[in-house]
Amino acid sequence: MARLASVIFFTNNGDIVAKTRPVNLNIPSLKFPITAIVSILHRLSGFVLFLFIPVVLWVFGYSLTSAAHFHNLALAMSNVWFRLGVWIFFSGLIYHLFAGIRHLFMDLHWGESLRGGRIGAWFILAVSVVLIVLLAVYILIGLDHVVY
Amino acid sequence: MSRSNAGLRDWAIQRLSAVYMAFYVVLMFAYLACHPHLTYDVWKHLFTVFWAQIGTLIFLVCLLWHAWIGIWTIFTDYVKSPSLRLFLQSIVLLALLVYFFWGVQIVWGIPLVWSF
Repeated sequence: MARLASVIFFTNNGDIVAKTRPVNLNIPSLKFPITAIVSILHRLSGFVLFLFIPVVLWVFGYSLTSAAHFHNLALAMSNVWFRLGVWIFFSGLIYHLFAGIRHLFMDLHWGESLRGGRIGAWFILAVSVVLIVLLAVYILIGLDHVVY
Repeated sequence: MSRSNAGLRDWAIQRLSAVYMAFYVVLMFAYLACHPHLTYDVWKHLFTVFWAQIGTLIFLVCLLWHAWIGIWTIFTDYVKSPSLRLFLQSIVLLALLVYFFWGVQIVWGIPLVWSF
C-alpha cells in the first residue's frame, strides 16, 4: 500500500492546486508501454554487443591466422556453450539492427506518432523474435550440416 | 574542451555510423549466405581484396565510435558520481583504443603470436 502525500501543482491557467499522490512507488504495479520495453532492449542489446567486441575481434583474428585455426573454429561450433555464445551475439545484433532501423525511420518523421510508435515497436519486436528463433533452429540443426 | 556542438555531432555520427554498419552487416551476411561451405582460403582471400580491407577498417572506426557514444549515454544516465563516471569512461576509451589497434593489426595481416 503506497503512502500518500499532498503535492502542489501549478496548472496552465496559473492556479495552484494541491493533490494527493502516492509517495513510494510500487514498481511492479507500473505497466511499461511497448515503446519503453523496445527502447530499453535496444540499449541492453547495444551494451551486450559492446561487451562482445573483444570476443568477436579475437574470433575474427583467429579465423584469419591459418587453415588449422579456421578449422578449430568450425570444430568449436560443436560445443554447446560456443553455440550459445554465437546465438546470444547474433540475437543481440539482429535486435539492435532492427530497433536501430526503427529509430532512423522515426528520425525521418516516419512512425513518430504515439500510434505509429507503438505499431513500429510491435513490428520490430515481432520481426526480431521470429529471426532469433529461426537463428536458434539454424544453430541447433542447420549448422550440423555445414560444420561436418 | 568545447562541447557546444557535441550533442548534435554525436547524434549525427551515431546515425551515420549505424547506416554504414547496417550495410556492411547485410553485405557480409549476403557473402556468407553465398558461401555456405566457406573454406579458409576463400575467407582469407576476401580480406586481401582492397575494398574489403578498407571497408572493414571503416567499419571498425564506425563500430568503436558508435559504441563510445552509446556507452557515454548509458554512463551519463546511470552513473551519478562524476568521479566514478570519469573513471569508467577512461577504462572504456582505453579499451576502445586497444580494440582499434588490434583490429587494424588483424586486417593488415600482421602475424600475431598468441601466447598465454
